[in-house]
Amino acid sequence: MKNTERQKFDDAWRDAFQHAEQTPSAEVWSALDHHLTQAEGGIMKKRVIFYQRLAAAAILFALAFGALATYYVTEQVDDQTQEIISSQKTENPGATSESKNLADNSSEELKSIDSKLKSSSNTQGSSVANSLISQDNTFAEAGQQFVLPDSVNVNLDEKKNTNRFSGRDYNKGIAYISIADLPSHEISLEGKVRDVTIVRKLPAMPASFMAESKRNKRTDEDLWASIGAATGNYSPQVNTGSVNYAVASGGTFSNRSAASSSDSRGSAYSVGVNLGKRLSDRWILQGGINYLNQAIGYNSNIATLQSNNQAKAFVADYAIQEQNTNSVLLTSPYEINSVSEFISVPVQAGYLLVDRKLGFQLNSGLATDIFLQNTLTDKSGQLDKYSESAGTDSPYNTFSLSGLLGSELSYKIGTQYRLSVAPGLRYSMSSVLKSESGTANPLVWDLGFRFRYIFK
Amino acid sequence: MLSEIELIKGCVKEDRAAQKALYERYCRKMMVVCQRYAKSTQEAEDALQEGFVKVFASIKSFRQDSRLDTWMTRIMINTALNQQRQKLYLLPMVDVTEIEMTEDSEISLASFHLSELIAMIQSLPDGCRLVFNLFAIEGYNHKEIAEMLGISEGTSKSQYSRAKSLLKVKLNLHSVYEKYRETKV
Repeated sequence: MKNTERQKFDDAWRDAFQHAEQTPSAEVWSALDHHLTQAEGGIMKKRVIFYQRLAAAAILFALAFGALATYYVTEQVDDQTQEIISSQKTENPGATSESKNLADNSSEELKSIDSKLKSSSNTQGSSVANSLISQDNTFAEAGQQFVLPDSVNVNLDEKKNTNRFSGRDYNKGIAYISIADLPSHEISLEGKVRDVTIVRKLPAMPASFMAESKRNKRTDEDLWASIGAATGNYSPQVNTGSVNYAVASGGTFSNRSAASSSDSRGSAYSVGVNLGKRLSDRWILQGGINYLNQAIGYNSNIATLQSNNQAKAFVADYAIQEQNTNSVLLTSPYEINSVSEFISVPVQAGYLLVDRKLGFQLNSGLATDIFLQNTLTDKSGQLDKYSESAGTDSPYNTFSLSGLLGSELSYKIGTQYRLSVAPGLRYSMSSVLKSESGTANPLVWDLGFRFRYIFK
Repeated sequence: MLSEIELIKGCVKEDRAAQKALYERYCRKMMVVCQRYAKSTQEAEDALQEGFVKVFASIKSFRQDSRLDTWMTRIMINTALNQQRQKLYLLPMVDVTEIEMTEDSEISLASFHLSELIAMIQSLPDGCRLVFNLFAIEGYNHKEIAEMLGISEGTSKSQYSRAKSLLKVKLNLHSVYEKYRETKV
């Protein structure tokens, strides 16, 4: 009874307001219209500032990327040139006095000495070595633009002081000119001086303004899987020692050192699958598994002999591991293609700068790289392939750690797919070579493509 | 005249003509909702304006699984409640488990003008007014009201009971006054 009575009272009030209408004053729409106009202006301002900042961030990233890559490539070129020169010098210890004389000679005299040197070559050695020695001449001829001939050796300790002569750098075959020798020209400017108008840009957005833009725009992209591939260049950053062989089993070389030098830049590619999870409005976590392949050219002067007397391609990094065996022999320099393969397990945190149909995010994280194998292939085809896998006898560490840095520009297709372009950097923070063999901290810069499936 | 779906599409595109058309179609109904929760017409108009700003900002998320006016009414109620929330500390925090309900005689509000009914509700204390609107007119139960306002269920019941008593007094006074006027005439 009570409930019924109560219901009647409530119903009476509900019915009274069911279709009730009351006209508000005209000021309400005026104020609303004004508010909407202001909001539109604010959104436009925010968009302009946002895209300005996005462009600035992209430019900064590109500049940093370019500067870093240039730095490493330049450094690597210098290191490799010095390595080749030092290995040649070690093979020809008797040329020091001649090089000193050359320091006082003109460039014409140097040319005559160079041509004289070409005519002399070592023709001793085993059958395998002989065939390689015949390449030596070719190598020397091909390399004379940047390799110091045997007789133009310079004492390494004195190199810094003596390798730059007034007229020519003998190590690099480059002529130097003093600034004082340059003709001076007076600089004159023509034309009228013009007025320049300086336009002030919009001031930085106040924090309170930004707070409004941080409204919850969380999408339904909480979990996704992606497949991807990337390709690019890499710098091996190898630093290995040299190994001296008193007597090599294949011939009569003595007091020479095994040396191998890689090119300054190789190629790299990777393929893999990844899983991503959104942690908050802006932060995401990504992980997965990738196959990495890094290929680079080497110049090497050693080979390894198999039991059937067939020689295999070899590099000094391995020779250090095997210097107690008799299976390594010194040869004249030849070219090798070295391919290293890894399985990588990356974990990256990402920050979403743009989270709309068009997306832009910055990624950073770590990857555990598991070494699979390294294959050495003689480019001339004369030597067999040599493979080195992981293990206690391997010069390679089974596990190494890499730092990852990159960005991802993506575009949403439909409701469940996203396609992205991802430039990135990968730097091995721990050496992929064991400490006995030297150090190698490859730097990879690549461009990847990813196809993402968003789970609903 | 634009259909409701065309209006929604226009508002999603932030077309000002569509926004104005939507406002003009629903502003009167929404004004009454805001008036019931506000203490004055000025307060009601403030809530109405703020409510429509929210409607236009979030109309992209309207899934059309309910009526548009029902969805807008919920936004207006939430906006009005937010405006009144600061006054909620005035609510007596008594936990009443059993409310003594007096039996109602048959009542009819048909003889009352809308403005008189609104004036009666607006004259209620803040807590009573909110709870009465939510319980009697919107149809929420006391548990839901307690969660919405951050008060205990008992407080909601006591506020409703008090609101009802006050309204009955006002209705009776009004009836007495009307009878008195009729006899005079």
